[in-house]
Amino acid sequence: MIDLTYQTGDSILHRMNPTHKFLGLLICTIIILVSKNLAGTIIAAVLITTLILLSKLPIKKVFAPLKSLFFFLIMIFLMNALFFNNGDCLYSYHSICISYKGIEQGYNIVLHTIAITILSSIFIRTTTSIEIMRGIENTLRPLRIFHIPTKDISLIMSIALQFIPVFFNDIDRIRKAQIARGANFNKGSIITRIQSIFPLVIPAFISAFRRADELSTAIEARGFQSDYESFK
Amino acid sequence: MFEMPYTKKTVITAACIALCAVLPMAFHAFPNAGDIWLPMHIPVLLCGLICGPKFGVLCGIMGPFLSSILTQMPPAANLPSMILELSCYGFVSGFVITRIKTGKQITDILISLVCAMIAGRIVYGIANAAIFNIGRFTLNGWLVSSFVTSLPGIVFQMILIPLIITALQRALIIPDKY
Repeated sequence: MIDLTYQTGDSILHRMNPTHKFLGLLICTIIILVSKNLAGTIIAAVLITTLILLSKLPIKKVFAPLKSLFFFLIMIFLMNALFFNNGDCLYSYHSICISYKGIEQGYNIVLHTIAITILSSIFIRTTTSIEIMRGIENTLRPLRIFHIPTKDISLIMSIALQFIPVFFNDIDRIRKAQIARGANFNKGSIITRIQSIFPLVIPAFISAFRRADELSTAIEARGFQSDYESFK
Repeated sequence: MFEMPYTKKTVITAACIALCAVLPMAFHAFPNAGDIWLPMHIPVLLCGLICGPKFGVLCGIMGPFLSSILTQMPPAANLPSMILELSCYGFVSGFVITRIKTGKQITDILISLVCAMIAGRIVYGIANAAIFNIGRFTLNGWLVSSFVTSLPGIVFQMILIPLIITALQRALIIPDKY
């Protein structure tokens, strides 16, 4: 499981207004996605290095999510480098076509994914879930003109963020319980594997919805007032 | 859509958004699970069916967004088209089930699912062909990725979603439609 916990600290990024931080994350993501040449890559690299230094986070923690993406990134690069065919192949064999354009495209996608992953990692590790909720609520505030219930949306996001580790544990518990009953999720034919996923997924949904039901009862009992009843 | 208090719909939507991030991890045992089994589609379709079209759209937007930030699935490059596809699933499944009344809940759910799956895939195709992958997105590619590669996922969802709704009703978590 990917470690997505807040890292206590006293850096500029830890103290920064969560709304500014959230907007900054969105702007940096857009800058990275539109930069497709060497200058853009250098700007993104400088931006990320500066943010890592400002966050004072351990490098290992910042780069941790990349470990789980390693094979995915290699696969994406190879698919673009080997199969992108725009006519100017340097080497071709059957459907394989190695071209400058393909290598460039693969390189860009991999670089963008790495950059955005690191940015998200810095954001998650320097912002508590309550601050994330406040950041989202303030960022979405202009949408209130269109009667969009931004307060409810930020509440939903905040509850969702708190549910994620709980659901991870629930699914792990259900998986272990099913293994103890003889289920095998990693072996057998594809049909056997599909059959084995039902006893995992259905209890996971029941457990998740039961938790949601209990929480909604608790919220109502505390007199929760929705933002706009128009969202009904 | 099932008659429930507003707060309950709010929290169920939050649970479905969280499941959008958690469920793909549970499918890790299967190779290429994201494209074949479509685990992220299940909570969005369920949210639309149970809470209605507006909550379905919200789940379709926030689910992949949150999952992409936290687990990098889907990758940022695929995120905009996926958000459009999933929000369409959430909207259409919720919209159709509120309008359709055959007298049998299972029929209502299956019709809503089929409509949502077709509409979502059309939106995904149009979005890629006209906005995100101009010139690189082909009709054959769309047909293969939307209906051939994901066929096991479509069948899986058509079986699983009615089963989950029935199980939730038996557990008295959501009410009966009729």
